[in-house]
Amino acid sequence: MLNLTDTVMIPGHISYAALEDAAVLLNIKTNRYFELNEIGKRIWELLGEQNSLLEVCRTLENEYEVEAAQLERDALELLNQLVENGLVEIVPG
Amino acid sequence: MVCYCIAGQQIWFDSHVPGMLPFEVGYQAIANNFRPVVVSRNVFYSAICSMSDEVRPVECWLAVPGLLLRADGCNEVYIAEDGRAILRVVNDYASGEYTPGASTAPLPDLDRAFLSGPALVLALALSGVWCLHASAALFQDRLTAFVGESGQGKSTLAAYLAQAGAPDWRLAADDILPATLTPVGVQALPHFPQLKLPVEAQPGVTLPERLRLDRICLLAQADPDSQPEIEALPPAQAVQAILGHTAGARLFTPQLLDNHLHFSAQAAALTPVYRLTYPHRREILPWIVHELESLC
Repeated sequence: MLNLTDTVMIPGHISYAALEDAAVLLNIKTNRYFELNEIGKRIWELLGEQNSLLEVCRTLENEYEVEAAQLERDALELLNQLVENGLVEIVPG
Repeated sequence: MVCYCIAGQQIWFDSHVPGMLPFEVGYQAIANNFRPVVVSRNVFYSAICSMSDEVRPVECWLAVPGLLLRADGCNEVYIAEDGRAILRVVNDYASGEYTPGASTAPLPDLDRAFLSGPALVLALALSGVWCLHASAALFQDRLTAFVGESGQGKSTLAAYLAQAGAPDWRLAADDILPATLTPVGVQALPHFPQLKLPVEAQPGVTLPERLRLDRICLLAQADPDSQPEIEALPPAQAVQAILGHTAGARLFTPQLLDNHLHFSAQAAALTPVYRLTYPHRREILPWIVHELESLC
């Protein structure tokens, strides 16, 4: 079960390329590519700076006009997908 | 030992490779100086590769300092770590030694396909050259690469452009277009053996060694009754178009996969990528020519 206080660790077999308004992730172990949209890219960058998901949401609230509860749901959903695809490992908060 | 200059890279082979004659730049009759290599105990990874119009499983083994490729029915092939040598090996099962470049056996057709297909593409990737699975054509020194799944019309469109349909166009590649990143952008390296074309009809031979790659078109087939359409792809889709249409990517090492992702991202940022959707009707082709020329 993921929590908003969790942080993540990005495994060494994940490669990341930033694009203008998006990003592409590569899981080198599975040779599968994943696309992040603009907000997904921003979440990825903030998670990579050792921020907890809660801290990520607080930062995004300041950057985008979005309701906090919706943002937390979307961020948790993205994190779930990242975990399911082996793109991040959870460090419990 | 025979040296070919392919896609701007000098690469040594242990024998003449039919089909590469236009790119031969040197010959060394003496025995090579390669030492036995140490091959890993376990396969590094394996992939399904296309060779001579059939698919075969290919295994990649670490062979310090390089890679060893194995495919059923083919001689084992060593690729130097810098991609500058592609050599059949002779293995001594008693000592476990593998000696690159020691084979004096004639080159069977399947070995030729192995050397000039998966092995060559992997060797070029090791030197930072990525082989787009693409046809390509020049219009007034502007180069357009056409990528797409098999059957989407890459060769047909490029051949039409280069023949009677469009007199100002010139064929640059039929199936593979090597490309690399340089400080001035993405450059295509058309000196590459197009194996589906005869030696005397190799389009790259008379072209400069390097050409700026001006645009990439991802071909997609539309319903027979629909209208053709050309649209610029957003960055992530542009990257996917390059990632998904690079030959031999299944054989890339983890480091090469990482390098390839960054090449694709930078190439998509520097070179416009379009999706060209059109029904496969010959009367559509003049419209496509007009649209492509207007992009130039």
